[in-house]
Amino acid sequence: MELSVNDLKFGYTKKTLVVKGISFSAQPGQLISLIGPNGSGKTTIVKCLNKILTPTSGNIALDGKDVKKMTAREMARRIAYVPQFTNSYLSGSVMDVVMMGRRPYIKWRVSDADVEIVLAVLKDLELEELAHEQFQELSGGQKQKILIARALVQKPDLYLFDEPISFLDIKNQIDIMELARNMVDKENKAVIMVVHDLNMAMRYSDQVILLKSGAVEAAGLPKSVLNQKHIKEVYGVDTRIIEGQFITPTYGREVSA
Amino acid sequence: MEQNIDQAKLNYMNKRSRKILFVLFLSIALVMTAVISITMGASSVDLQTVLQVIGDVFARNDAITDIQRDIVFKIRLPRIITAILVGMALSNAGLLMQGIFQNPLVSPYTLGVSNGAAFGASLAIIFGASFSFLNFGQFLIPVFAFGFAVLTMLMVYGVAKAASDSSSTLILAGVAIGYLFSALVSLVKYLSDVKDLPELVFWMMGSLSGVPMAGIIIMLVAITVTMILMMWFAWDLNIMSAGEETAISLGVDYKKIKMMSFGISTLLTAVAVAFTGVIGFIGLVAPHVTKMLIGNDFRYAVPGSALVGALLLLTADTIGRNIIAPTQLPVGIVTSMIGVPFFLYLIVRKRGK
Amino acid sequence: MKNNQKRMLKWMSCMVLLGAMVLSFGGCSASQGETKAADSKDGITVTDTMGREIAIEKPLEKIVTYNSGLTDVLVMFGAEGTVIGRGDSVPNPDPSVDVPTVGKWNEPNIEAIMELKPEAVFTYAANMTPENEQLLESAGIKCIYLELTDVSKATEEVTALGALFGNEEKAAEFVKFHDKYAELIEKKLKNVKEEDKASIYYEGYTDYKSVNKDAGGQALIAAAGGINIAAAETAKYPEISDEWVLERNPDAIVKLVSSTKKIMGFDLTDEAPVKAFFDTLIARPSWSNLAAVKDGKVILLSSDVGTTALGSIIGELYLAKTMYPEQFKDVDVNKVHQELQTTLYGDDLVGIFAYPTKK
Repeated sequence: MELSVNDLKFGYTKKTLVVKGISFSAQPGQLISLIGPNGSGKTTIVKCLNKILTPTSGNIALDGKDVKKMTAREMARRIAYVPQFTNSYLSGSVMDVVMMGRRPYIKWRVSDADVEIVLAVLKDLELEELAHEQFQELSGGQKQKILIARALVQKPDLYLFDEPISFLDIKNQIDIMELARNMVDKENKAVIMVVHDLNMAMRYSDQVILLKSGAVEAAGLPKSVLNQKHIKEVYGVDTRIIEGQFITPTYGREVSA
Repeated sequence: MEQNIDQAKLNYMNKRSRKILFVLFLSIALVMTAVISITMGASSVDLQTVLQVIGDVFARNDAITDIQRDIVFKIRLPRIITAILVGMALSNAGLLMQGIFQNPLVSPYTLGVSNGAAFGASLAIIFGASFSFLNFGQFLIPVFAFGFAVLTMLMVYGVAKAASDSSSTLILAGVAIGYLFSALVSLVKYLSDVKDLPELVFWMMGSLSGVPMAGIIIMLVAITVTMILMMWFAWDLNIMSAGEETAISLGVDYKKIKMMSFGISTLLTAVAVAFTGVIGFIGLVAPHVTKMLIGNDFRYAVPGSALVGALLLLTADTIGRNIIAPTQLPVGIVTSMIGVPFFLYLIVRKRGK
Repeated sequence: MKNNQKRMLKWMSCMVLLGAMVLSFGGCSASQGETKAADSKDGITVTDTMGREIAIEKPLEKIVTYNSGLTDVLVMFGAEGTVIGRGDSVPNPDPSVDVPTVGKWNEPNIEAIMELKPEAVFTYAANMTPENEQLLESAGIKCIYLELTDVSKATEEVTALGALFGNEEKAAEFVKFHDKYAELIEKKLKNVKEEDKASIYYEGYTDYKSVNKDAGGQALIAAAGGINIAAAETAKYPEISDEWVLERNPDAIVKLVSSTKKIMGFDLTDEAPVKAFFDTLIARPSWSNLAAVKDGKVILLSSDVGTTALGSIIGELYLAKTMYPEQFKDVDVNKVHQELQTTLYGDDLVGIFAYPTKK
């Protein structure tokens, strides 16, 4: 599988473009992080890849085939999407929610194979205990993992994650990043992820694409992209990069009695 | 570990058979309620008479009078069929709307359709004489109610489209336009002559009697066609509730399904309201009761909610026909009086678990 | 800003008006004391529908009415000129004069009434609050309830109205006319035994809406010698079960047709729409099996001759003739109505008031 994006442009109106000509490609076994400040066009790019939004111009091809020419069902079998985490209302049990991911394969009747695939994925994620719980009653981290499980049962080649770890605690953040890493390393899938946390991007990505106002500021290996100069350029903040550390304590101090 | 999966799979299968059983149970309950309902009424026609009348169809029984025969076949049977059809239509309209707009409070009433239909009916009732040139005869009120129900939906949709296509704007537009039409109904009532008010008030309370054969056939066709469509697109409808982005990413043609759902719920509401007036509450509560009993999967919820709606309305009407017979209580009153406590009980029971 | 000023002005004029009224009332009551003692004979005292005593000094010249049934009677008295304000559903008694409307028929507009300064207001008692009544009375405006909806009180009410509007002769004529036909009905039904009395299903403007013993329709039925099958129901205007009507199989059926349907009533002469309406009525499920339908004892009555003063003569006759065609075969109700129109109103009768009519 190869996804190639060529001079992708998108604007809600003809005059003001949100994405101003982006090109990149993704191969199996790659985790690509899209990073950049709010409004830099990360989410918009992901939605274009997924045909949720229709690009103003440019070309997106999957193994050389223009996605515009693919049917919705065909797309859904090859690209899975995990939406930005919101506490959106979804009724039904965990099984029901994950089973939605089989929609690209199900005509009407749910086959035994579908049930088995769903349960296997839940087991892999150590979520089988939750299978018959109501989705709505789970914690935020559990919900997010269930939505990832839904993407997994789609059995796609490419996963799109839109800010999968925002609003989650550190344990869940690491869990989910490890999960994504697993898909890449063990299953040889491709993952394109929108992230805000530069530390996470640095640690887990194969490639990083740094965006500023809808254009690529820098792209390549995490180390070469996420340096002080680029971050200052794009975010306008000063940083210290400390190898092997997630958190730079700046304000913490002892509270005297 | 393998055993675990098998266990979970068994669980899932069990749940599925339970849902199918429940739908079967509801069907049987509906048939039984219909049988009980046909033996009850303000006249002395009881179970025995009904059996005699049915026997009379096959072998002439001279003990049966024409009036008794007509009470069974021309009065009770059409009314029971009407109750079943209207209950199905309103309930499925509500089920669809709640699923598509991802809002549990949506019903044909929240989106202003009933108010629009009521305005159409009020015009027909109050100014009926001025429309006699249209030659609609007894269909004047249904045609007006239907027309305005559809018009309301188009207005709501148009306003929502002009603003932004989100569910919340749609609901807001529906509520606002609903208020507009209810104000217009009040205006028509206010300006109208005292003598026509009872007819309008009566219509606004809903009635299942006197629906012409043509009306029953129209409702039957509308329900059959929409039910087939809803069952056919059941998976797409299931996924619609996850929101536009997820639906598209799972290969659902979001716009098409949304338009279709919009059309179906409008059609169902409009035909039901057109022939029977404003019967509140079924469209809101029956889908919820269904979901509490058998879950959200449209493959089961569609027949389920149709049956729950039919059962609820038929029970309410049977009570309304008999409780202070020969005076009849408007079905809308009874529906709310038995539906609300039942609904509250289900909510409490669910939360208490 | 403009609105506020307007409101202020309205309030102020209201206060001034009120003040003036209180003053004039004071003056009035002083002089009243003298005249009362001098010639109490000149005063007029009547009892209204609610049993209240109404005392006035001289016949009314300026009134506001919210009672649509009253118009007909005023026209009969030639007193249509006394109306200086009317409720929205009250027909304009004199089309050559533009009488202003002062609010909805069931919501008398007190401010507007006070501005018109009538001597009396005619409303239905149910639509007048004690507070408003007091307000009007304190402004010297009488509140009079002569409702004309109960045909059994029609003669008393018309007599009272005759006194109030100074046309006792016409009122007496009406009563004479009424009594003549009431006696006729009584005479004709004298030999009908209680158990042979016709049962009748009475339907109002809405399908299957009937009347119980407390409603105006009951008096109409009773006066015509019928027995209302829904008399015992709890609701005043109950919605009656269709199958119950079938099983009761009443001897006769009457349906009232609202004047707003514009198929029956004064000045309407096209029988086709009335016939269509009638055919729809008797085509209801299984109605062809009803004795009333088989025997042709189903009648449509225009609301003008229903529970009104006119109904106490014409409506009753139509009903009686429908229920007892044998006894009334020599009575041509339309001719009676014609005669009434000529005698009491001095003109020709034009319109359809009942359907079908038999000679």
